[in-house]
Amino acid sequence: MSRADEYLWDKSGAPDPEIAALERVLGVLAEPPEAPARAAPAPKAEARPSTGGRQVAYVAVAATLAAVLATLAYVSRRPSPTRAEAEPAPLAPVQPEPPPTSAAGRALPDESTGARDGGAITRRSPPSTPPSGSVKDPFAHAPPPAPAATGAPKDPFGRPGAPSAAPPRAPAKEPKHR
Amino acid sequence: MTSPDGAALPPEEESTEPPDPELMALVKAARRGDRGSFAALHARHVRLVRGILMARGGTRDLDDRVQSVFASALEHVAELRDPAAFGGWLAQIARREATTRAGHATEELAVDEIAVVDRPRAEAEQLLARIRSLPMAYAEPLILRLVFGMTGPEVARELALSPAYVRVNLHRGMTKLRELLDLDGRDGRKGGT
Repeated sequence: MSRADEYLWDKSGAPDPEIAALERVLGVLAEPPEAPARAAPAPKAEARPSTGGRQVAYVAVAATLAAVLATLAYVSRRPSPTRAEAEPAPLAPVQPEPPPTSAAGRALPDESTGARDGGAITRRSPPSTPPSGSVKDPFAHAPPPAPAATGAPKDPFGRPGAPSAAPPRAPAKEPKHR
Repeated sequence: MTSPDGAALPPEEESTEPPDPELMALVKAARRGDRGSFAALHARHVRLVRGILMARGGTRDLDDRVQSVFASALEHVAELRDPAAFGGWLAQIARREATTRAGHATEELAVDEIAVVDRPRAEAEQLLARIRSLPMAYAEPLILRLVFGMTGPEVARELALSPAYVRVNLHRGMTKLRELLDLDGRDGRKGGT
């Protein structure tokens, strides 16, 4: 048996130059040109998602459900827009008016009420000047603070000089001169 | 039995090698459905399968064909009765796969196309084409030996063939290849002058 035969058979002995050259040239075909050889076919049992993958799936499903529920809640609570609201009517021109203040300089609650008449907000006109002789309190038209108010008007703010909020004394009986 | 060129060959199916106990254990476990054992069998025999497919179908879609052979083996390994015959059984699956693919094979990638991309690979493809032009009984062991580096005894053991049969085919195949390459060289020199 020649040296080349031995090397060809079991690679023993000195390499035969011709066979070694063929091995070098052909060796590039042993590996795939672009990607490494694939592994054995993946068993079907291993194709199931891992525990971590399952947890991620659960979180994703929960997040989706939460988003859907939040959207539904928002849509159900939101009042359905009327036609008038959908198309807002222009506001009536209103002159800027300084907020009413009490004599002590405190701001009073705004009496103006926005009436929704067809979408247009109107402002109640200021009260007319009270007739002479009555109390010249610009806040006399304020809503009564107590339901049992009878008789003289009471100042809900307890201003000095104004009638107190305490129950009014019974008027002194005048002697009958008759 | 005679060789493709008419010379007498030693008997093909007389492997004097005793069965490899590790191989036997792996095949038995794979038959019971042990995926790890099948993966080990894949690692042991992937060169053999690649060599057989390359000898019969070239390098085109080789990875896909190898994958197909092992998928088929995984599907049918439980039906294999003799664990010692696993290599020969796998080789038969690979040969059947090559025959099936050859029926509806797409055209081979031209060597000139490869040369544009990868010159060493193009040279290897040219040499492979010369080996594939030999009778398959020579081409298979030559490719397993020269491309995948398997020794003659390894080829004989994995294919469950007698070493004498493999050895004769290997040396006769090498002689034929030398003749072809000498012929190519002379033609090349003539063409160049």
